[in-house]
Amino acid sequence: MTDNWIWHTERIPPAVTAWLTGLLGGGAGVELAKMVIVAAILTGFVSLLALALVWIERKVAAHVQQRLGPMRVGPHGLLQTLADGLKLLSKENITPLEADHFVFHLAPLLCFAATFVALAFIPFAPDIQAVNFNVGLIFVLGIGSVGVLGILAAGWSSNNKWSLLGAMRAGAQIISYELSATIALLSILVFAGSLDFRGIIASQAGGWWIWRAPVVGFVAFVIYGIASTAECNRTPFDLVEGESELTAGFHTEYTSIRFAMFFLAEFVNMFVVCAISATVFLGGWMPFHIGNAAGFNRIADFIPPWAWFFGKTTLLVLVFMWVRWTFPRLRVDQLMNFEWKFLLPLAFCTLAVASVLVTAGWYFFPG
Amino acid sequence: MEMTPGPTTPAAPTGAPVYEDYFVNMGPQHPSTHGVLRLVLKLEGETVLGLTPVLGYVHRGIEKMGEAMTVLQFTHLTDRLDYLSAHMNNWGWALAVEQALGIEVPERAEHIRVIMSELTRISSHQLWWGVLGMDLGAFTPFLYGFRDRELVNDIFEKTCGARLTMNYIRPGGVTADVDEDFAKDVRAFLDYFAPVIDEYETLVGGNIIFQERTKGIGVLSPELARSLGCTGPTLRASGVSYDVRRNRPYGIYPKLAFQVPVATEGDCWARYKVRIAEMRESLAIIRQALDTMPEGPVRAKLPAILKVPAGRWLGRVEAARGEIAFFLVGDGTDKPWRVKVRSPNFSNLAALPEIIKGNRVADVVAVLSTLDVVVPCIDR
Amino acid sequence: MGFLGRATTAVGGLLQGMGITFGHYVRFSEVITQQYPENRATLRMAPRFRGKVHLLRDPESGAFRCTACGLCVKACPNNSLTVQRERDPATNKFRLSGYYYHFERCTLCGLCVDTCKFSALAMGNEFENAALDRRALTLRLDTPDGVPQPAPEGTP
Repeated sequence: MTDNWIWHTERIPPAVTAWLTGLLGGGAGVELAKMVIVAAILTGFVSLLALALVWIERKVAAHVQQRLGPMRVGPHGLLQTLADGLKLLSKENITPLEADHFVFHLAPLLCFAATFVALAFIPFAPDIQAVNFNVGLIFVLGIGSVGVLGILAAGWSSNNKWSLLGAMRAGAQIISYELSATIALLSILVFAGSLDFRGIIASQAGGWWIWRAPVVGFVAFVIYGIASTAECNRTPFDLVEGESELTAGFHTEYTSIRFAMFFLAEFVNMFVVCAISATVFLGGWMPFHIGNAAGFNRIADFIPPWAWFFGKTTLLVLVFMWVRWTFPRLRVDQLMNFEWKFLLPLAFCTLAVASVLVTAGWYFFPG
Repeated sequence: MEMTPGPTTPAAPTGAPVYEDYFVNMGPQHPSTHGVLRLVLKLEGETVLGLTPVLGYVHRGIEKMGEAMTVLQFTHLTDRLDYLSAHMNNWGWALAVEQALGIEVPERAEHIRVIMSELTRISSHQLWWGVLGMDLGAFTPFLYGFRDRELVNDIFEKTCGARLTMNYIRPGGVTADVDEDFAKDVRAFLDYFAPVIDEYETLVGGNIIFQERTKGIGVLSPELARSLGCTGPTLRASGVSYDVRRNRPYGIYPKLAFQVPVATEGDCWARYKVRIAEMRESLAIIRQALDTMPEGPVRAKLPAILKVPAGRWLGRVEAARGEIAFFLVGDGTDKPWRVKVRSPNFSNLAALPEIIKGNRVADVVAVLSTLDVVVPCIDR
Repeated sequence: MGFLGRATTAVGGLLQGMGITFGHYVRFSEVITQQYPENRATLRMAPRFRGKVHLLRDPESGAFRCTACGLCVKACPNNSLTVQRERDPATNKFRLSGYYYHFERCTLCGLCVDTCKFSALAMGNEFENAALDRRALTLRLDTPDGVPQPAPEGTP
């Protein structure tokens, strides 16, 4: 039963290529058609993802707060996000008179494009990956920085003192925490030995790095979790959206679909960050095997790899949401203090210890 | 605070002077100003150099209306001052009128008054706790505080008939005897709520982020607090042990055993700790009052028309936020000549401009939240 | 206590807070909100809840207990009640000819009910009192079938 394409997703790309070659006769046309198909699937996926994530966020918030959340629009409020999206679409698109028009229109697109491109690199299942570079991880981290550009562009072009200040703060916050995030990931990369997502997952065949790298794995996981919460502007690091300069921060002047794009970008960014965490620390689409327990391993294999991937990522997303609804927010100076005086030194130490462990081979199942 | 900008930097290349500081309006509509309060902030970068509250948005002329109503009619307006301490407001007014007319309140009514007041104190602090969490960014405490407040509101609804503007404690006693479920409901609430306060402390007080945002922020010195007339938890957190229930006792408070929580640091954390401790003390007071409640009438016999003799009387009680006092000046008719309400929130808010200097913008919200200001009481 | 000690306490506090919210999150049935208006059928206010003012009838005779004495009008702090009376030619006593209730002014304080010596007034239990037209808020309470009707415009 586990022999069909649901479990063996690596059969899908060659099958599609063969079908397209049969249709178009080979050559550049097939490649172009593949790109179009993948882009379309990704776009559809991002939309559904955003819808689902917003609904999950509202339901998690509701149940933590002992209430029910959206219940009226669709069964258990499933269509609520769709209704909110339609409402946002129907609002007027206002551009301030003195705003820098080109940059003002470009900013939400920058944010959204950054997240969208990052999503293209995530391996959802064996061979189900939109793009594959041999330096995939570095590329994804770099793309995340383009998102910062979008925020700064939004703040600058709004021609609003408070938006600019909020954007500057957000920029400083994200750039600082990116450092810790990258160093934490590096700590695992020295174990994995590859920057390619496929290589990282393949290296976890013997076990997931979160436990296989003793102590360092878990510490790096926690550091990455904290740093990526700050990158996504979520509580406890959401002063950008909180009382930031007493308005709504960098996206004050945005309405309708552009505001929706910022909003979507934030949620999809959260998914991307959790996906990276799941891939690097939790084995990506690999099932959870216990060494010699053949029975357990067979049951684990019964679940398709993409289900494993989505399960792990969703678990991490739920943890993000759980943290958001529990903690108050940090003040901006406390936030910067925390990063530069605590988290970054800790990340460097983790990297140093990881390097020592790798060189000496002091981790579980080396080689 | 002077509203003129401060020193300028040397002339920039364009020749126009560049001011270092700027003014920001934390406008009348703001999620964190606890009412319709306008704060004009003078900032330099992130630091607050000065603050001016602009009041009057909720002014309804309650004191003037007091001159046009009989003393019995005025009670329903006292609910609407600091509406989170509605029973205490009613009681303060009742004290003033009872002094003026020489009315003796039955014992059972005194016990009921204490229980209702202390329940109101707990309910007000529950709301304060929830809103404090929300102001600092944690949205969940708000829901938990309101969940527990519902129980108190249900008790009020069953006995008094309303959940916010109860109009229950009136000159002479209380309007009606308690509901038959009252003792059962109150005891159930006391048993339920004591461990929940521990949950409150863990969720908010034990949180390092919360502690970092409140420790050392907005320090109010005892001298300043006394000179401005701050009362209530705000004063007690600065080390001054003044509680109207202890220093100027009324009702059956002299017979009840309770502590008055006092802290010494005077910062937001101290004010937080004092209010949490007060909730626990209130639970103890309610239990004592309920255990020793005698049978009997709940209202003194009053003449149909209450004429206030010429003279001046003051009724003062410890509301949830401080000392609220009602100054009644009579002129022999059934309508007062003057009603003056001494608002605790007005004096507490007066501390804000001084204690916020040097802190950051984000701290304004934290300090205002721990000062626990209800604006309708200020504006009356 | 040392940096490490403080850090451990801090992390412990954070995790305990997370534990509390997690506990509430997984206990799905502990929801405290009610689904209004779907629960209207079972929704009841407390008996003493102060809704609108009602004019009561004597259960045996079916007539309104109100004797048009006007004490409730004097008790009301903001002129929400108006009593119109006429002399009954037979007994030469006053009787009620119109009882008007300005709900738009009423603060639901209950002073009128307290003052009435004939138990002619009571506060009801309704809370869905919003109206789309201000004129619907001034009611005449002494109608033949007991259902309050909007009063004519210009009623004092």
